[in-house]
Amino acid sequence: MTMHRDVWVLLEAEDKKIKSSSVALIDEGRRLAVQLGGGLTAVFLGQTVEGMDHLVGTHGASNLYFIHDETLHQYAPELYERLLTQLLLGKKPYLVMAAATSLGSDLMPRVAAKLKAPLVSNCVEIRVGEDMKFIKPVQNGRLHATVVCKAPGTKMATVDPDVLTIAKEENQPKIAEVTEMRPDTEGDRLSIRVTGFLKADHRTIDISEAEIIVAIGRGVGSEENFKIIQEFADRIGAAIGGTRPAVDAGILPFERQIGQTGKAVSPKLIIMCGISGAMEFTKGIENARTKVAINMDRQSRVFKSVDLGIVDDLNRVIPQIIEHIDAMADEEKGQ
Amino acid sequence: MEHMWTREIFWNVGADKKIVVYCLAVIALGFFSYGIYRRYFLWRKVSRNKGRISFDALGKRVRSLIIDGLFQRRLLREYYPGLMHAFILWGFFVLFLGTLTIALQEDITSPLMGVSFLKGYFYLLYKLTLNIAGLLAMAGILMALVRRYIIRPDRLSRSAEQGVILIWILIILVTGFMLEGLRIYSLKNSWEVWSIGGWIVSEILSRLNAQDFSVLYLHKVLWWAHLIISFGFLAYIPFSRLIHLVTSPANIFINAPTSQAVLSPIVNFDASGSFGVSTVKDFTPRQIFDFDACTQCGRCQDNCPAYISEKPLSPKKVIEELKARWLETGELMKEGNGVEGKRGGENDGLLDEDVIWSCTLCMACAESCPVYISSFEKIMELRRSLVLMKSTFFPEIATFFRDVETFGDTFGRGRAFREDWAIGIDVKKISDGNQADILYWVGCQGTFHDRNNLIAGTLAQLFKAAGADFGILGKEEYCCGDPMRRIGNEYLFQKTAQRNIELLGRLNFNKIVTYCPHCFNTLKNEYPQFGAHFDVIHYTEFLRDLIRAGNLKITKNMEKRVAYHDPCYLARANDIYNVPREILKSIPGMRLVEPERAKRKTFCCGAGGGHMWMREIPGKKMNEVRVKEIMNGQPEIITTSCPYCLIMFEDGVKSLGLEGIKCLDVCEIIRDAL
Repeated sequence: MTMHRDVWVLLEAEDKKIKSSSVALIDEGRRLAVQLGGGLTAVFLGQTVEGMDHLVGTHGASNLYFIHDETLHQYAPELYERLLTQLLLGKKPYLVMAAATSLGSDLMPRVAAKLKAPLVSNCVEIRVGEDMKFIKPVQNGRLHATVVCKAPGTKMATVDPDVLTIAKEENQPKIAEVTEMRPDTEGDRLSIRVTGFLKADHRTIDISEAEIIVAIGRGVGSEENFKIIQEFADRIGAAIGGTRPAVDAGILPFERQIGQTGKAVSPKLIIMCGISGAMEFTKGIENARTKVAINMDRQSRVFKSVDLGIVDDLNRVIPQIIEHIDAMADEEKGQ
Repeated sequence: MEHMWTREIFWNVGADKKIVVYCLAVIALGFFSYGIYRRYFLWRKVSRNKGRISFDALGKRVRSLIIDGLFQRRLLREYYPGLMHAFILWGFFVLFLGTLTIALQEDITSPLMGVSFLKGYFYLLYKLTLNIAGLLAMAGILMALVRRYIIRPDRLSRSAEQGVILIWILIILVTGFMLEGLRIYSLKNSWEVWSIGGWIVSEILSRLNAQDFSVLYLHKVLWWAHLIISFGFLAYIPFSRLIHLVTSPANIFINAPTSQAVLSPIVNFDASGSFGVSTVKDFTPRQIFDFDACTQCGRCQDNCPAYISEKPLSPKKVIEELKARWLETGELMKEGNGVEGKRGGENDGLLDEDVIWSCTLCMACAESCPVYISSFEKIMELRRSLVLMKSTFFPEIATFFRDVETFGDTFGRGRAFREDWAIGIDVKKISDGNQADILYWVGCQGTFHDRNNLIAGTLAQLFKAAGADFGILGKEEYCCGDPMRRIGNEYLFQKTAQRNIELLGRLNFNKIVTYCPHCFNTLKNEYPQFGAHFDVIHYTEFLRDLIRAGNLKITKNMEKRVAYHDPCYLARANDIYNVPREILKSIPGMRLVEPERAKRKTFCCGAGGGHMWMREIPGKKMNEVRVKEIMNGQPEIITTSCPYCLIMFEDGVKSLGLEGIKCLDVCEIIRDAL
């Protein structure tokens, strides 16, 4: 069989650096390419990133297609779609992967549709066998489905960025062969254009998208205590959410309610203050990664399922944490 | 002198005028019939569904008609408005019979057989009865005027029509008494004192020293006036709220056998392209007839927990608004303005969505309606349309549907955890090869909720202690479907029900005992719609039997004040309210305090109709309203027999900051008393 078994990965950059999820994706691509017996190629659309060839090569990709043009500095869906489709049509790789970021999740389906290629989104694992097997969460992550791809030709996948971790092993420094491409974008009439970026404000961000949440419950008691919580949340850039009693008491608006009758959240860190941990609430934080609880009641149900439990008055604990953060900030300034 | 005790029917007017009277009667009846005919069109033709009046369960229909129609049972639950209405109804009913009696004598017995029976003692009795009836009716009208214009309760709508009707009736009664008084005054028979009302008028006339000539003249004029006003009243009936004289009793007759505890199923999902109600035309003729039977008395509003909690729902306004839309649509159709008229045609938003979602399906509106109208039934139809046709519901409900659909439970946990509550209790599992006398249906709340699963365990331990042969379905148990049905997802409900029916039909057991009143009602009353008839009892009934039989022995004294809250689906839907009280009273020392609204009149905890999984709709918190009401009796323990109610009350007690008040399930109290 003279079939190409090459693996391609799509890279993304942020703040003029290749995103760590993209670097991890190269690692994952290398693992699969070895098993498939093919080469690994990276493709990047956008602005020049310093040391890109070195980074890509070191992580195992022998080739890097670098498509750059002023119009590509920001994600332009139609243009990205056209350019990537053209490139892939010519090279016909076996597997194309992107991280399931907002860019990846938007671009890959567009390209897949143009290529008439199968796409499995948001995979947590990809297995090489007679047929490629893609494992992805379904039903809000409570079940995992295995999708088997029997179609010939290019297969596509997006990978959950949360499972992408950069391989620990030391790599031999290498330099990837870079093919620079300058596309002709004169004739492109773009119906979607990015006009600017607004940085997410932790105070206004939707709690279901927040990465850090400070959650409050009935135990916070008064609006007075709430001020300390707000100060704390501002210090750590956290969004504030809460239980139904906190909403019913008028401390928070309904959009900030977490739980059975509110929103399900999936932050990397949630700090729960004065929350008893009734299951009507905990149902909403099942997907939170690290859970911390501060509660005066040692017997509180909330401590059953947290990573760190602090048995104390939040009026004592939180000012101390704030003080600590401020001290750390001063130290940084001093240096 | 006995034979003298009678009166000449057309006295002072002349019997030759009879023909004129009958002509007027025919005209009045003509108007009446025309009005009813016009209405009939609206009742039958606005709906795109076919309706048929059913006569099954005739005994029940007639019984309800007599008890709630003639004897006004439901109306008399409230003394003032009840008596007020009953006086008017009974008064007019008797007066109408009186007029029929005269017609009987004058047109049938007298001309055909030469028999006149309105004389002697019978005549005196007849006069006395009619006078009392007239005075009662007058008292009723005066009470109504006082209520409407002086007391002004919140639930009464203001409209000129109401006043017109009351004054009209008052004029009929006053002219009637005046006529009698004028006649008695001129004839001067002392035995006519039996006609109390007329006698009083004649006494007044004699004080005024009225002239005989003017009396006779006035009598003649008034006689015709009274006649025309009365016939006019008859003709006015179908064109005003008075139509309830026809529609309300008819509605009692039509709706009497309908159980409020059971929602009507959508039959044949595949063939039907439209579910629920999105325009007035989607209602059935029976439901439309409900609109016309409504007298806007407002009892539903007074008993609605959503209205009392200041949510945007009034069951009375629901019916009023739907009625207005129905009439509007009907008029457009009559004008030939096309079946799909501009305003009344295919329009969205018969009611605001906030109104539709405020209902907790507690059935209090239907329970309190004197003429058997169910407001929540209409809301339910609109919900079905929102859920099944437009997919418009709160996002948290989408999560909920997905949980049940994927995992078979309302918590989205999955069958792997179905038996966790029973760890350490050693409960038998019923399966194809393993039978038991009692199937203990635990329910999702008892299985997964970390407070209610303790109660599920307590129940199992009580059953074991009593030596009952029982088993659970374990991993095979599934949601009963109640919340989905009451949120409006009839499709998911039926799928769930069919799955459960298939499973239960295969297994060997005698009885099902449920923990949750919602499961109880669904298994007992709603599964029969799909051909499944199981013997289902609630655990309170089972415990009562075990205590009666001496299998559970209460040994301890409990000197406590305990308030029992009736769950809607136990008390209102299934008439089980004495059983839990009997259990609680069997504990020595226990003082049972009754909340203001108890038994069939109980008040929703706030979690029904899917509200356990829904956001709080603006207004007061229903559970706090109820907890406050219960706390008026100063209980130390609030007890109930429903997992939803218990959660709501524990929360209410906490948020109201009530220290030391315990919320317990009835079975937990029993356990502590053994």
